[in-house]
Amino acid sequence: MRHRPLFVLAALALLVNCSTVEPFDPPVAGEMNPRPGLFSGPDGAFVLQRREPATPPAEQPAEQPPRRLTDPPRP
Amino acid sequence: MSEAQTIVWSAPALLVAGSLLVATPAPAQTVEELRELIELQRQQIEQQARQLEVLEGRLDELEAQAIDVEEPPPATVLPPSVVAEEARVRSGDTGVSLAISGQINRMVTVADDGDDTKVFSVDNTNSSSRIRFVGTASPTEEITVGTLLEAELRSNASTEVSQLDEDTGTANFRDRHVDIFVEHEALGKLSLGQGSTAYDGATQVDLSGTSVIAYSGIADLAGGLLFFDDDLDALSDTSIGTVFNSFDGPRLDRLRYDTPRFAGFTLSGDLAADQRWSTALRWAGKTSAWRAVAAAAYADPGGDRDWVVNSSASLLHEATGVSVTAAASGRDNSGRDNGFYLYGKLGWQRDLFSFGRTFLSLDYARSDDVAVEGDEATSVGLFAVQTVHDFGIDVYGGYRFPRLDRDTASFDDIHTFTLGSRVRF
Repeated sequence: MRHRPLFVLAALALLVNCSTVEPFDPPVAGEMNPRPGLFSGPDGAFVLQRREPATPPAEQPAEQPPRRLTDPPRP
Repeated sequence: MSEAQTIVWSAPALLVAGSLLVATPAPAQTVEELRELIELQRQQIEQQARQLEVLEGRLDELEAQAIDVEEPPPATVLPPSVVAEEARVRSGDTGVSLAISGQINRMVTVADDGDDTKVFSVDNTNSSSRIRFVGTASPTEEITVGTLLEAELRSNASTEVSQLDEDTGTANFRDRHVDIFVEHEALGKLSLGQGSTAYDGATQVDLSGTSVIAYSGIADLAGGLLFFDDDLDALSDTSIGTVFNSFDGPRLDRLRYDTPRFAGFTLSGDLAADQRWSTALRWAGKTSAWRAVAAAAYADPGGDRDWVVNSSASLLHEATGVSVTAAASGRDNSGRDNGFYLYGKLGWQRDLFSFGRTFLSLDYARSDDVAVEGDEATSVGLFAVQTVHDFGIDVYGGYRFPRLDRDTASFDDIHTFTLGSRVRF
């Protein structure tokens, strides 16, 4: 019982320490963990990605016909 | 040059000529002469305007004819939805990708069985040569649907060669993962196909960085080598692989579920062919000073065995690079003493060179009652791994010393020296 304060302090210290623990993805033995590749570079893989869909062109104002010499002057 | 092009080029030429005439400065003449000149120029301009009007009319006619010829027949006109779909297939969606990767992992092993010394060129089963295709698509922000196809190509696998068969022949592709998965951020991951059971890897967590050459599955390094029996003065039929077993989970045809990670914890379970199942709890966490990972699992491996229990943990101190790893597991042996496995490793890692980290480890393994009741197999190993980080290369080497005590035989120790490299491509 004399050591109860020490246990409490240790438990508190553990709790404080645990509150700063962040999860992470550990390496898995035998599997291909993320890392650079000799040819594929930093990604470690050749990634084929479908591109963005072609965005439709913004609506353009109707094109005016070319002005003729004989046309009256435009406002 | 076509008639239309001629007209197009003629019109500006006439305009330029006219404007030159207009812009030509008049010499110093009398006012009367100037008036006559101006009248002449006015008449010329009027004549050019009439010519231009005629030319423009002919140009309009030719353009109309050209449009009639070029306009496609109505049957070939695609509706807007089809045009949009064509564009989508050509250029695609975001969040859809196929990642292709692989590695070659080869090594040379010199083995002394107490009677003879032999050299083997093998594929390292610790992390075999393979190729991998991972396809993913994200229909929404929370959901990922994917496929994992991974096959290994082990020519002279380190677990198969022995003193009696130094060349196990041409390798064939062997499936490792043939998996479809759906992952939801809040609901977890469901995997269907051939792949890791829940207890696969539960005895193998390891932060030492030397797993490519030394981890709890020590039989992967030279599992096919046979112990030499001094009593018989001959090679026995007992190999390293038959007496060292960490009872780690296999890859099977199964349905597996993994919960989302909560405070570093993940719970997994699977149902596999032949009424086999397993469940595992994993945890991984780090602070600025430490990294730690642990796993525990229980499985019904099927057949005559009722259960397998696995556990392992690894701790890495970032500042010093010192790591400690331990694993313990057991297996029901159906009618005789249960199998038992214990593994410990002390590691150290440091950036000794600018091109990559250096890893060292010293390990010990003990495996009891695996092949025959009363067997006591032990092993000590010392290993080094040097990475060349930017090029995805590991160069490694080491020494392992497996020994087997059996009441009915007198086996020589085996000494293996290994040097190899893994190249990720």
